[in-house]
Amino acid sequence: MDEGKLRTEMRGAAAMLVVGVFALNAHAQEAMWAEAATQPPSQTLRYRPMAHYVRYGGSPSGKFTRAEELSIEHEFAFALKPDVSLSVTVPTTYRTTKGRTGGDATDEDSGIGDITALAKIRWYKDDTGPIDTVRSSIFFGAEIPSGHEQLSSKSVDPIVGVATTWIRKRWGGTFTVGYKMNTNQEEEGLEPGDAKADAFNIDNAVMYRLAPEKFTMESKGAWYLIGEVNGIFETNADHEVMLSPGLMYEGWTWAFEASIQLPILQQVDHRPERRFVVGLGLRFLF
Amino acid sequence: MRTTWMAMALMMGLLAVGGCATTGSGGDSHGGASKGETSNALLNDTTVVKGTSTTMLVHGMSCPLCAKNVDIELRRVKGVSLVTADLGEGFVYVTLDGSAPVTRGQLARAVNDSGFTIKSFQN
Repeated sequence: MDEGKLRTEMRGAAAMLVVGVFALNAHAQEAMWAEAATQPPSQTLRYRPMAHYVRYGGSPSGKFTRAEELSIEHEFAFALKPDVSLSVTVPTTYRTTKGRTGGDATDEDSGIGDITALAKIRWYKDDTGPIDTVRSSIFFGAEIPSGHEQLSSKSVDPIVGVATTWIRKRWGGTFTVGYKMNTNQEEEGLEPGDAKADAFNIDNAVMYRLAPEKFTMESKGAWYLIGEVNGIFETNADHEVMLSPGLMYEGWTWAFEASIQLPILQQVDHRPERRFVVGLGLRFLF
Repeated sequence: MRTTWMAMALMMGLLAVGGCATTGSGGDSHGGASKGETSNALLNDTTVVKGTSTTMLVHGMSCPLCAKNVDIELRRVKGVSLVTADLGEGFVYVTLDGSAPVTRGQLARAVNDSGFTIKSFQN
């Protein structure tokens, strides 16, 4: 194996290791990719790192032939009241882009990506049994540019949406509808909603508790099987639907999850296709 | 564009299926308020808890980490020394250390602040 290829493989392995250590998206019975109607306890600050590894195809306009991205998102959420929380998410991103400067050369960029600030207000809660619940929250805020030359969309993009989470015995789920208004005027972006088109998200997640069949005083944790369908529809007619199977273990103070996103419907002409997305999670609650 | 709308229709259909699963569930009934929210009577209950422990029936704790959230809030109440939960039945057992008087309202508000619904005190 030549030195360049070896270095690339080692970077990939290191990236996956970092994902394994830091990727955290599970909260309670949240799905991995859909925004859920959950929040920290009142007057409590929660730090939650999340990581995604994404492999992109080539740019439609030929700006590059392939890109990879490892992003670790640091989310700080604070609940002002039982039903109101604020969150700020700061992504630290490492991206490689092949062919951007011509030939087979690979460019590397690292730094802080766009920051997302959201307010979430739970407007509906109905706890109908020891485990059963239905909750719904509205969320609104904006994606704020970090100023990084390559990793920022360079625009303030308002976000609004509704998330509803339900749990009924061993089954649970989340369905979320979100809208990101893009003020950027670039014709082409890397991520969905990064170009000048607005992005409409529809996420539907279903979770099933594999074990235990029934919680008891002796239960030490729970295993969940997760299936998500995540759709992104942009006003420039680009659209993408991802199927996201996953597995989660949740203990009393920590959780672990693994999920992969695979495209089942993809029609994008203004950004590269996402070949697949990997997420591994581990979270501790103090 | 037609494909886009078909895909959106598919997603909305899936949402509708998910939404149907949440309606009319009713859930397990243990009395108390008809809607799944903590009643004001419980939140404002000034009755001091007698003895060294009490048990509450709590709804909406769907997972182990939810129970941890309840534990965090209840331990903020001065006088609470230990919290254990039975998720399957919804019971939260609170042990008091006697360092300060604890009212039922304090415990109810702590559970409410953790995002869940207290239905009743069992003793």
